[in-house]
Amino acid sequence: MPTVEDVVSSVFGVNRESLNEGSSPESVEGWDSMGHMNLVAALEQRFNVSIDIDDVMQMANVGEIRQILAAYGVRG
Amino acid sequence: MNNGSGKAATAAETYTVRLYEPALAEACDRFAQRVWPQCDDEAVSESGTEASPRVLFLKGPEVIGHVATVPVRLAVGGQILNASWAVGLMVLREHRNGPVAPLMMRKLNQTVEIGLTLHVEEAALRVFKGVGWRHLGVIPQYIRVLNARAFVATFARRGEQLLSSRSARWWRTLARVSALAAGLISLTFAGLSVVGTVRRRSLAGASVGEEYRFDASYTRLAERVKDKLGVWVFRDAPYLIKRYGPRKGNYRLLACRQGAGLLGYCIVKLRQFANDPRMGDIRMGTLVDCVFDPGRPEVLDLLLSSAVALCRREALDVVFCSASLHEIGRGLRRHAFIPTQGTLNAAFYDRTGTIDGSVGLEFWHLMRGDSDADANC
Repeated sequence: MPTVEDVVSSVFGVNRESLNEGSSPESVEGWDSMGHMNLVAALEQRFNVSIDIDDVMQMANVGEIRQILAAYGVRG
Repeated sequence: MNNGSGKAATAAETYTVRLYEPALAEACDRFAQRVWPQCDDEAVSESGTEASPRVLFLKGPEVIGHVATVPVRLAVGGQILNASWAVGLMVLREHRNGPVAPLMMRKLNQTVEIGLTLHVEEAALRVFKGVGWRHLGVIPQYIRVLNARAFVATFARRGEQLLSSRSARWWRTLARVSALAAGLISLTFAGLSVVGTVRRRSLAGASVGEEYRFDASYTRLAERVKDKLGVWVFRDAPYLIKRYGPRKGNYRLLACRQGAGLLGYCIVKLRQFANDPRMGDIRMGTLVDCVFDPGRPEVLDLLLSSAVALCRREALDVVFCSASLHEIGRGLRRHAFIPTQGTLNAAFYDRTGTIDGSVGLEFWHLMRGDSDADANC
């Protein structure tokens, strides 16, 4: 099963090891508004979920993404 | 797929993307006052009807993102299609890294059949491209300097403001030779003008005069040339009245006529900057629109000569023109305009599949008068 870090690493082309719970648009190059949409699409595909818009808006960093996915019953 | 029932309970706010409706008017006003405190853009404020949908992104009851549309008719190889300019794409600063803009644009894509945009900002362009809009490129921009001394002074001062104190000292030294630079620029444009005169064509029996209203002859001209200007916003009289009528004070309309028949027209926007951080006190003219039969370049020559003469009479320092159409670019060069770095990105979205995506920007007729792209010129 992939982790959130795996997906973020693959979407933004950054080193998996450089990511942590606090990784966010401020620290990851390419994580702008369009990058965020691409990330959401990749998360939905990899974890087979459809993420609500309210939750999309709350995904401010890797840790929060993991928490939100947990509420969908996904362990990322 | 796990959704709906498995919806996360983490979200503290409710977010929605929806079309404008009158109940949201006050929230829209609050948003507009926050992001455009000085703006009275009718194109944005009039939007929100079925013909000109307006997409909003709401956080609870407040608008945090907005994109409006301006309906136009697009001539594509002589066929007239409904299209919309996307204007006023704006997201509150604190939400700009999030998905607000792309989600609004996706909604807009579902709402309009053909969308068009002219944008300066790279960030906005990334969003348009990201949701499937086709980037046509940067519209070529041309400049003709009429008062080289004012032109050099403006850009010398601008250079000084932008540089560090040490570099600025060098710049000031350099600027001392501005009289020489101004002389060289004057000579260059005078030379180009003389060379261009040789290549210009004359047109017997035609004359250009200033006009103050768009009558039925403007619609007849649009009908005559609608299949000759590639892809362009169909500018019949009702369109022109709506586009320029309410703002007429800033624009001058030059019409080329032979007898009563309208052969073409050119619209010039005049602007006096005052203590502007970028433009200083320069007096600037912009050729924002020009329609003519591209098979008759002599009409364009007559219009451009008259437009430059008008700008001289108004004591303008510089004339700009952004124009995608190949024929206009050639005409501008004949009139001593030189190409400069353009800033306006053109993009479109076509849900109908009518517009040939391989058609290059030079076969589109786009100018600053299109959309709200002349707001800052």
